[in-house]
Amino acid sequence: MSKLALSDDILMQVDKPARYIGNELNMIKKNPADVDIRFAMCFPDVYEIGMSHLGIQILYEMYNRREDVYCERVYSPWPDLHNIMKEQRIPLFALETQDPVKDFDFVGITLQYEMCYTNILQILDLSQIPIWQKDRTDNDPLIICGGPCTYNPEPVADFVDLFYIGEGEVSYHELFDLYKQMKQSGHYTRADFLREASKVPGIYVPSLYEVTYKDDGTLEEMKPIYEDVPKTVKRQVLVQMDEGAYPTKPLVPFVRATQDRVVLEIQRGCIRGCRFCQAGMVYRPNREKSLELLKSYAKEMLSSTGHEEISLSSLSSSDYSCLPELVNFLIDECCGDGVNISLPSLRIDAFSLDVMSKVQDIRKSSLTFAPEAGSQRLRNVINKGLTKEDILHGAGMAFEGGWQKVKLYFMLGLPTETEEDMRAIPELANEIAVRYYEIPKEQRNGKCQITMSTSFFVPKPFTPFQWAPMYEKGEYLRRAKIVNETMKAQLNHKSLRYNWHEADVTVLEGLLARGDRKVAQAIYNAYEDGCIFDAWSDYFSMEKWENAMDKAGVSLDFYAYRQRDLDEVFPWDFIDVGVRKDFLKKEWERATQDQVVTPNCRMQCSGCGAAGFKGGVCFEGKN
Amino acid sequence: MKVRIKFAKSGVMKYVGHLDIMRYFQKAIRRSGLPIKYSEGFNPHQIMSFAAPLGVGITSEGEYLDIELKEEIPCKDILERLQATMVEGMDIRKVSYLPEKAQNAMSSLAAASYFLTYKHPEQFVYSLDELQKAKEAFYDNAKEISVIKKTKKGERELNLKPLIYDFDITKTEDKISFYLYVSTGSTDNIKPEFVLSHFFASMGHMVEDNGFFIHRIDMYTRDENGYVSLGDVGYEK
Ligand code: SF4
Repeated sequence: MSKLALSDDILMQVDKPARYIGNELNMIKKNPADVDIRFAMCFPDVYEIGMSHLGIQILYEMYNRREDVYCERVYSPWPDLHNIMKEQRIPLFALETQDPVKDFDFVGITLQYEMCYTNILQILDLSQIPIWQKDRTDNDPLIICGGPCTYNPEPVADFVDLFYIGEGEVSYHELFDLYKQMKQSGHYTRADFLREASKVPGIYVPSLYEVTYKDDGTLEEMKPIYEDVPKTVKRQVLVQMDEGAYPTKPLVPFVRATQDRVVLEIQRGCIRGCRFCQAGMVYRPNREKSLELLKSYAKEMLSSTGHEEISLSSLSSSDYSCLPELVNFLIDECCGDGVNISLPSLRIDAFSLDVMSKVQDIRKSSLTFAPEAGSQRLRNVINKGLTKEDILHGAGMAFEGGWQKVKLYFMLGLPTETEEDMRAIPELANEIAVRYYEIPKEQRNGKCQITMSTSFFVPKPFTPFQWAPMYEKGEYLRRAKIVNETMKAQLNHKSLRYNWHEADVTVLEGLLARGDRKVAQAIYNAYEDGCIFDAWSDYFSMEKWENAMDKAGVSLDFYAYRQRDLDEVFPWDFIDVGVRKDFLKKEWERATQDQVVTPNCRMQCSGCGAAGFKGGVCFEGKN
Repeated sequence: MKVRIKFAKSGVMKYVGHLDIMRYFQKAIRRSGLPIKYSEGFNPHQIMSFAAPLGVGITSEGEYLDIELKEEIPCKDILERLQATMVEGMDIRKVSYLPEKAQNAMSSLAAASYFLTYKHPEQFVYSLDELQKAKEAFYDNAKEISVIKKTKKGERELNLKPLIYDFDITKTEDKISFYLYVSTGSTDNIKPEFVLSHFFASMGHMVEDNGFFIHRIDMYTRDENGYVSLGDVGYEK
């Protein structure tokens, strides 16, 4: 029988004990004595969320293919267990061997959203690893972080030994080989290793850089403290998507995960270039996987997991060039016998409607549009190609095909937004409803239901909107109210619904997203005061965060509400993501001054800089 | 064709709850490629039913689920194909075909047998002898064991005596274990820890929740000849 880190008494006391036992189907078993490197891969959120994450499964597969590495998993213990572990001083453990994480060589933490930052501290604290990077010794594991938030690692830089900037498939082997070699030479010290590691492409070692500030609090300069440490860190990109490791035998949890299905990653990057979207910029260029490979993965993964559903993952599936072939293959070859396809939000057109009518119950399912802004003017500002005609046409076709429900996603607080733009949101929804009621009564069944959701826009690093200010909570709510009031005045208001996000979390997310090293103290204070699981509204406390910020001298005025100067030095400028800052600047000007759209990568290259990676859409049809 | 699958749940798997075990088997059957029958409708589901949920924290070597197959496959093959896709702690013990008219495991369930041991032996200082004597008074010689059972609707008085078919206390290598054979099913569902807590209460000892390791040995149905293991109702093919 396998051993467990937690006693029976504890497991019987906590919610969903199966989160903590490991033993899932397709779990990798190795003898730790047989490997050179023990790696604890952590997703700092609850098990069900972490287990749903594709990136972790890819790295788990990739690392474990190496005989000299044993990669295990760690997730954030839920608050009930968190308290018990703190009280009884039980060290955080990895699921596979149930061994304490503090005895591992590396702890890798993926940073998927800013609101998990206190959970990083939770992981370190429960693991009994010093929280501040400067306090760690040669005996502590190396803390390495990856994921989208590393495109501005600075707010958490003081907690982390190394960051891996870019796609994990590329440089990890070099890093592992370096570590192994230094360990075997008998001359390993943490400092020596970090110094050498900083030269591995994509690796950023924050302790080797010095940051100076101007009197106004903005960055003066960030520079390496040694000559041989690179000035800029280049994002790592897997150019040939088909060559990457893929988990064809993914882990299947016992507890129902958020993604309880086979996930097929069809491409990375996006050709679109929406100006608010970080993923659309930092994952450039768009690179596709081949149809044949995806077909074989689909079959293999369905049979290795027994999942009853398969879904496609990408930023914009409709842009995948072989989408019809892929979807038809899935319908013909994989569906049936209780297997369903769940389609990510596709662009609504004749093809997608036809496919959806085959795989969903039309009556129950809804159409999704993400116009992001209500007026055409503002959609031009954000570079969202979708027009009102597209939406009305798509919705019209769908209504005639039997659909009645439409979901619309928008953002409030976008740069240049006016009251007119806010009012345009319910007006657009109303026009969609009008389109529905144009269908003769006998041919439609009952009322339509148009649901609008708005989130508040958060400016992110490496986007054309990285200079934009945010607004205070009250202002966001005022805008939401305008939308709400305008909705009530619409002719078809009975068919319209509206819901909006919390504003507190949004401003904090904005602060963390564009913060610098000074923000670390606020995160630390918040954790000390009991903040964990900030992404969960039940646990989030703005009051505690406000205290934490006050004590650290960190203000929303400076980090969130401030309009940044065009030549301000940003904390993340040292990263070379591929897309150049002058391109982003040009896009910011095209957005706010000329208010014109920029064509997508397939229509015309705009010379963003990502062609430097020598692959993907930048070279499509050119060789 | 109705097929009954007997399985065991041990080790860390005891912390996986019943709903998750159901999903686990749905996926396991899909992985095995067995031609299971699906229900009609837009969201077809596998035709599958379990004898009785097993509480979190309980191990068992006598769990059952019934499925329906579209075509006949030798029992041995079914067992091997399922076993090949099990995780550690889940084991397929037996596969048999059920007569077409047989009731499913859940509705035919009438009794279950268990072993219980102390989780914290230091809290129980009784010798085997003391326990045996107490048991004689509590069970063997009692005409009635009147207890209050909490139900959804409130509380009701219940006589446990006719619902406990066997009760035994043994000691092997210093370890006391309790054997209980009790009525189970939709009408009189008796939990073994419920019986033991009343037994200890009769000795003036209040036991705390989760005080015992519980292991289900088997589940039974009742026919004209008495109790029969759910695993012995069908036939092998
Ligand atoms: S270089 Fe051109 S084609 Fe390549 S990602 Fe940038 S804009 Fe698109």
